[in-house]
Amino acid sequence: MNQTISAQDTLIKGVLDQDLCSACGACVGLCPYFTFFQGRVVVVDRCSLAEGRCGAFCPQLNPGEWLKQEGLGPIQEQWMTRAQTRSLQRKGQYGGTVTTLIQLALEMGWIQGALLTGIGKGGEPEGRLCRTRAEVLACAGSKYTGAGTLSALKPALEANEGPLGAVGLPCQVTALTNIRSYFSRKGEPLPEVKLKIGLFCTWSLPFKKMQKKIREQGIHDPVVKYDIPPPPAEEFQVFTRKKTYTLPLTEIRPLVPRGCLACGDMTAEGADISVGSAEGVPGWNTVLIRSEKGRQLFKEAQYKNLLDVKPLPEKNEVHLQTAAGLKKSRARALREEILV
Amino acid sequence: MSEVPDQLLMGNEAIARGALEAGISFAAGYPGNPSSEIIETLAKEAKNHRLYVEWSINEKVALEAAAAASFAGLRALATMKQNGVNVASDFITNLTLSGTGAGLVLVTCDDPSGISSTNEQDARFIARLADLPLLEPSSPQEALEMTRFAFDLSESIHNLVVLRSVSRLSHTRQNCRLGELRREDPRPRVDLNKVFHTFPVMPKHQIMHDKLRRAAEAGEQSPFNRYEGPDRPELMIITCGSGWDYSREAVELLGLGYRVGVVKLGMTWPLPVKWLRPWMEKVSKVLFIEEVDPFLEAGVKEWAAQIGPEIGTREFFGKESGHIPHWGEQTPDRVIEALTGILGLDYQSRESVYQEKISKRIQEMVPPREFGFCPGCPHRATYWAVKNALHLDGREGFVAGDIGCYTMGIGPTGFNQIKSVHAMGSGLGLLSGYGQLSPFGFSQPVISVVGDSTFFHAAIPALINLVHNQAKALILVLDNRATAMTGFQPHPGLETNVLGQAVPPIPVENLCASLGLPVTILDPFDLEPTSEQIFQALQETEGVRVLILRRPCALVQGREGGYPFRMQVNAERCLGEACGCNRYCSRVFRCPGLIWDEKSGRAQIDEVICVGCGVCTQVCPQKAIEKEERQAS
Amino acid sequence: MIPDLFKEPINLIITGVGGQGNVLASQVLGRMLIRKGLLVTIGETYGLSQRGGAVMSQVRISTRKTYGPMIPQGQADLVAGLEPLEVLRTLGNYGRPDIRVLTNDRPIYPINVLSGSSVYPETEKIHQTLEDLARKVWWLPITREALQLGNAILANMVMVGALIGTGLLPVTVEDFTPLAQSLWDPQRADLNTRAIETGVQLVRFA
Repeated sequence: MNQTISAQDTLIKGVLDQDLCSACGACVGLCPYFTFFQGRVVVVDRCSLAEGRCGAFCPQLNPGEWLKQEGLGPIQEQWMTRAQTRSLQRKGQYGGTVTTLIQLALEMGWIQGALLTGIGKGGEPEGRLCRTRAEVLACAGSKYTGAGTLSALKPALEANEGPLGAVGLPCQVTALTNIRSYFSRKGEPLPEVKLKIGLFCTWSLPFKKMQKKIREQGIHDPVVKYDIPPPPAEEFQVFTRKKTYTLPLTEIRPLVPRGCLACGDMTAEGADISVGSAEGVPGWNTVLIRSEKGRQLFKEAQYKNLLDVKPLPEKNEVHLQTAAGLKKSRARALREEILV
Repeated sequence: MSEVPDQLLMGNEAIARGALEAGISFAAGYPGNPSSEIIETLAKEAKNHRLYVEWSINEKVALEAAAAASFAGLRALATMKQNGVNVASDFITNLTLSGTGAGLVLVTCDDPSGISSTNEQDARFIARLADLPLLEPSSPQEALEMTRFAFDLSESIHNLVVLRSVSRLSHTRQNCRLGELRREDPRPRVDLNKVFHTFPVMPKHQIMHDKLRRAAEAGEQSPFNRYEGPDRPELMIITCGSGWDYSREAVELLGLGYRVGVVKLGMTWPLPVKWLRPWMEKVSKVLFIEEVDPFLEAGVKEWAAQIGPEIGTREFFGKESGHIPHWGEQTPDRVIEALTGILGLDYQSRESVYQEKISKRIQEMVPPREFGFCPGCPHRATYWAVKNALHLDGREGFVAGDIGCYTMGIGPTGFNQIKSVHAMGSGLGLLSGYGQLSPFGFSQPVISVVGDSTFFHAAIPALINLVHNQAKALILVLDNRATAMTGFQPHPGLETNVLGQAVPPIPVENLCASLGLPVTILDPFDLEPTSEQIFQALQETEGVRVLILRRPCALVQGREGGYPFRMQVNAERCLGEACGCNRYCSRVFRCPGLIWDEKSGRAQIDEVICVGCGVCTQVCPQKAIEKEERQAS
Repeated sequence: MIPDLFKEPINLIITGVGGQGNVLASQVLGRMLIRKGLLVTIGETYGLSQRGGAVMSQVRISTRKTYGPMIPQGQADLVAGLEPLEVLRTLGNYGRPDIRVLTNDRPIYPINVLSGSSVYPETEKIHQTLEDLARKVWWLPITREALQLGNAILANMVMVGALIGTGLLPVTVEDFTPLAQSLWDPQRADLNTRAIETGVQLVRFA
């Protein structure tokens, strides 16, 4: 009987039991001992391995470069953009840029499929492999709830015939980087995630608690979108097809998992391209291009006139740096406190 | 040893033979280890005799049915294990007041050490409780003879007589000399000049005690009390039942034949005190050897205190003195230990060098052998689905278990899902409590699992209570079309009875429907859908839900042609011990057909053990386990 | 004429894993022995045994008196088993220096071993340990022979044959024939007889 603590135990005691899980889904993705269900990581069986992928992938146990980097991470170019097609603009959270870029990457054959986040039967967000324009469009829009997208990584890799792309929150992007390093260290063939688009994120909410909250407010129609208008609004907006509801942000904040507070990566510093809202400019995205791959994709999009592109206003840049910097310093402080 | 003995019979077979030699016409019981073979033997013989045999729905009904035969003038036998006596006890304590007609004998087969029971319980106390004569045979031959004696005794006093066996007697085979079969064909008739009720209670109570006194006389005269040893023993062992052989062997091994005498009593309630007295007068130290509780010990000590002023005090050793543990079955080694302790002797069963060597080797080398579900067992699949559903639900739900093969859900073979087991039907009984606790803030979902046979035996009243009192409950009926653990006896859900006759089966779903309960029938071999259904049922906030998980027991299926698949592990897809699997099939699912090949570092199918049910294909995270249809041979 | 025994009483243990046919083996032996006029007691431990647990039959053989079904510690004369780990386990309580052991060489892995929580010793190590703890060990490919005869379940009869072959018990193959005829139809009686004979040969040529 081995007395050594297993990798799974480390994850359970160090992350899950501490409410530090941000529901990225990476630990679930390539493992049968965990599953992702209704917005949370569920331990289904106990594994005895002392070392394993779950611990190596977890962005909380292995935080990304953001912890060491200052500012917004590596940036080659920065822009403000939106999709040229009106329908794409409307479907997207802000400007429809992410949808545009993914659809383009598919069309050009750079990737054969993309791991995105859609909405499942019960209304819960879930990871999904998308291969057509329509499938990609169906996943447009911010889910604001922990989706465990990477739990769908394994079936996506198996079903897909070529390189995969992925759109994820900063924790998911970090996890994808961790996954790549893990396989590289092991000298094993790498699951090919060729393109990582990261989304700006301050926090995401646990699905079941969110569902309960919304039902308590008397909202029973399916939710199509959430949004947080810029300060000083202090509001949380819930969009259904019929109506838009507004909840005070003070009621939403207590639901935020500690894991999100322990993360200081607001702009997905590990992605090829990071995309978020453009503060004060509704209908437009802020785009940070971080890698050569990202630059090439963006150039293609410009060349094909798929995007309206403008320079990023200075006040937006400053605001972004301030907000991201604040999240980073708070996160660093919290991590020092809880992670010994 | 001049005659050739007739047969090698086990205790239960000898009891059955004794009953036939006593001319019984009626036998009823409920399956329960170690008693089941009595009814099974009689059922096989039924066609050769004028004999009716049945497995009743429970032990109370079994005894009631046998009592009816007795009231009508037919000799009858009822059999059960120790827990069955508890179930029948309300009837017994009334029957002893009403009296009986033709000979009626209750056989209880107790299970010291609880080898196949949920408890370790001494059923002999029913004799004191209901003031009944109690007989304890010490060998299969004696069991045969005592059974005949018991019927004669019962008939002479018009009351029930209890014969008590234990596992080591019931299942021990030994030379048996058979007697003549009694052939009588009385026409059953209830004499309306007699009554079989308990009123007026007090006079009948006195009559009952008179009967007991007459039984004591018979006990005194019986050939079943024996002594072996010196004329003036220094220490006397008083024993009964299995203790007779153990005690004599211990005395022989220790070479104490000249110092220690062994007394065995055949009737242990009421005590044959007149027969015993001369021995008590001669000896100063007494050691009691008996199975389970200090029943005989207490009885003799009571009597010794009564006659104390006449014979003086004695030194008593046994369970109360700590020389024999209160728990566990008796063995010759326990008697040896008690004797060496009392007499201050040294005894080594083997030389200490060997003893040390062997203890060390065993400890280092020999792992335990866990029990588990058979390969192809539907319960493994059921508990897999339950485990997954409860984890997904995430509210710390658990399972209230019941009695059957599926009780093994308490262990790793059933993924440790069961958190409580008590008596037959207790799982559903508990739900009547848990199901009312929501208003107090109780939020843990509770699932009751109950087998098809257990369902008929004990769950129905509990189910009615759940419906009537509007409890919240989720019940899984594990319908494997068998009473498997005790040896595949028929039950009301099946199509034949113990005599092999066709009977109309009573489907569980029909019973539930009559209570207004909609039922979902699932195949537990479909792991995902079953888990999904259980999960959905867990989300309901009120009402009683019944899911029937129906799939034959693997052993039943084996007799009916087996399973259709030949299983194989695709070694290329198998990840073995690597992360992403870590031997998921053999380590977590734990079917004995899935083994681990050290050399190749891959899972493998043990072709001798695997039965080809195909369920494991759903478990492997790599889809490395493959199944193909067997060729018809 | 009641035969002589090499010891009074002979204490024989037959052990294995549930489902291997232990109970039938002990019954067959028992019936052969009582037909010779011997006093035989066979104590069985079963209940959950069919569900993968260990089983044990304790056989007492005497010309003089009947014994109880439990062999005292350290008093076994002969242990025969269909599973080597169980044979070794049995010696723990019942073994003594001059015990003789007859065992199948094929392991049946406990589920806790298959699942990785326990370790099953190398069969050769079990063999060596038995040699160290017993006066005589017959280490026999019983399952292999049974499979060659057509079915692994015949192993129990091969083992009975091996026991007969040791010469330690006062029964012969000839004693088996009438019993086989009373128990089984001619085809099965013949198959089981061949299994017995195979076991006898195994010991003769061991």
